[in-house]
This record gives sequence, C-alpha cells and structure tokens, in this order.
Amino acid sequence: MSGPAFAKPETRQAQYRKIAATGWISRLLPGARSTIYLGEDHLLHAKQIMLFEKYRRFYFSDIEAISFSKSNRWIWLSVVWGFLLFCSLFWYLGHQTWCYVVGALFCLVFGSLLLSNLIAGRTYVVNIQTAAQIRRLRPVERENQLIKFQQTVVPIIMQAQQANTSEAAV
Amino acid sequence: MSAGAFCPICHRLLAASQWNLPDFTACPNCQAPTRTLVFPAIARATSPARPALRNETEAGCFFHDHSRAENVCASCGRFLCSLCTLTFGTQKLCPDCIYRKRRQASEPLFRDQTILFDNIALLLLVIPVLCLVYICLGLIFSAFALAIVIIGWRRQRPLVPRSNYRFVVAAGLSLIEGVGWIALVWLIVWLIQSHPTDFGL
Repeated sequence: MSGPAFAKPETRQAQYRKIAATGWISRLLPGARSTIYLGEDHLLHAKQIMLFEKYRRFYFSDIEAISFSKSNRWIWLSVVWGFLLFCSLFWYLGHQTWCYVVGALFCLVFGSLLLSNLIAGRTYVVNIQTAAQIRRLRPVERENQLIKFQQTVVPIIMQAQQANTSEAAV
Repeated sequence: MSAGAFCPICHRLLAASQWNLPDFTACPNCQAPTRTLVFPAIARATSPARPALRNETEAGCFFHDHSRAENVCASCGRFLCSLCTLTFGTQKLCPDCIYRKRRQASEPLFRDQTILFDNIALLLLVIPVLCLVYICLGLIFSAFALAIVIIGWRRQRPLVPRSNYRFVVAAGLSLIEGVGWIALVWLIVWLIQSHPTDFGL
C-alpha cells in the first residue's frame, strides 16, 4: 500500500516556486492578479478570478516561442500618477492644518506610485506560445521582471528541448 | 512544424528572419518593436501522422482495432495507436484517462482550477456591509461565512502555496460581525423599549 498510486493527496502535491507576480494594485482588481510558478518540468500560470484560481501549464519541452513587444503603458501610468500628484498640491491652497495633512497624504500616495512606476521600468507585452496555446504573461511585463524571467526560464527550456532532441536522435 | 511565432500586439505572424535576434525589430504589420525567442520545439510536427494499419501478428489499438499499437497508456495500460496517444507533460495517456483524471481532480497535474473558499468567506463578510444589507441579514451572512471557513479549511486545495491567514481573518471577522449584529439588534430593541414615545409607539 505504499506505492505512488496509494499515496495521500498531500504527498502528491506538486512543488512550485514563485518566480513572478503582478503588482499589489492587481490584488484590488478582480481577474488582474496572476502569478508564474516554476515547476519540475513546466511553468504554471495561476490567474485568480475572485473566487477561483485558474491554472495553465507550459511544459518546457513544448514551449515554442516567447515574444515580447515594447508598450507605452508605463508612460501613460506615469502621466496619470504625475497628474494626480499635481492635483494633490491644490490641498495646500487651503491654508489650514488639516488641508496640509490631507495634501501630504495624497502627495505621499501618488508620489510613491509614480516613483514605483518609474523604478519598475518600462512595460512590455509578453506572450508565451506552445503548439496548443498562446498566452499573455502579465506578471513579467516590467523590464526587471522580464530580464529575470528570461535568465531563469530560457536556459531550462533550452536544456529540456536539447534533451528531447538527443533522446529522439538515439 | 508550427505556423511560426506571432507578434504580441497585433497577433500576426512574424517573419522567420526576426527570430532570435539580439535586438528589437519592428513588426511588419503594426511596427511595434518586437523581439522573439524561438525554441527548437517550433520545428516539431504538431499533427500526428495517420496511424499505421496493423498486420495479424501486431497488437492493435484499444480504440481502433485496425490500427497498429504504438504506445501504452501510462495510467490504464491500454494499447494506443498514434492517433489516440495524448502526450500530457511527460506521460502518454489515452483520452479516457485524461477525461477521468480531470473530472476526479485527484492528481495535481490534472487540475486546472481551484475554488478559493477563503475569498468566498471574505466576500460574504464585506459585501453585506458595503451594500448596507448587513442591518437586515448580518447574522445570516456571518454564520454562512463561518460555515464556509470551517468547510473550506480542509477542502481548499490550491496547487500553489497559499497562506491560511485569510481563513483566520474571515473567521475573526465573521465572529465580530455576528456579535456586532446581535449587539446592534439588542441596542435597537432596548432603545425602543426605553423610549417608546420617541419611536411613535
């Protein structure tokens, strides 16, 4: 009774390591939160849609391409946060202590959002492609995340597919 | 061989000359700066070849008796022709086993979604307060949320690591909301009984 077929569900739990996730703002928007995990032989894309979590698997041996295009989303986000930061300064026209406090709070919020947007770097649209599906990978759409993702995943994919090719040749 | 790599913006096919370049190149259709990393799997045949017919000495496919068996299902051990062999990760399975395993959802590799009981419980606690339904049905919602916490604590089986703190928060909130609702009702009743004239009684 100790064979793998009789193992308890807990012991058969797949092991995953989180390698990228969408930002904390996505937690507030239903369906916008997604995470990428590294499994033994595949990538797992987990997308949370309020009451459910949907999973997509991309086996390293099946991944055909990773394509990414530069997008202007980060510029538009900077414009929005910058404009809201500017609007927050109008609280200081109030000439009262509580206006200064509220203004400082708004400035802090929008200023930190603008700063974090600029630090995170430019945005990309990233797609991963297998023979069966093409999916957008939102968690790695920032420059730093994309570089880290490539450094982690590309060597594993190459290794898996070279192993497959050599097996086929034998 | 697969059709090729696609532009992430316009979803049109990219030229093979754009594959694996060190720099970004403009997509021929939308002109977006695009870079594509293409892997050897793109050159693999995607559609299986027509299954070979078997002769009398060879084993036949479980589903197509006239076709030669080329693989064995890793789960049930049925002989399968090239048409019936479905590669699922590293395993070769028959369509029946994939259907059964996905329905049973016993193995993590075959699960494609999970119910988040902790989020359901939290929503049941937050929405009534936001929609002002709490005053009428607060106790029912908090009892329901507490029941979902108790059921979900054991039944929630996400594929990926997930902390239980949401369950603890939901249980705490449901108790607070339940007790709060009872206190609110008691306060209203006490106010009505002590000052009946103020309420037109």
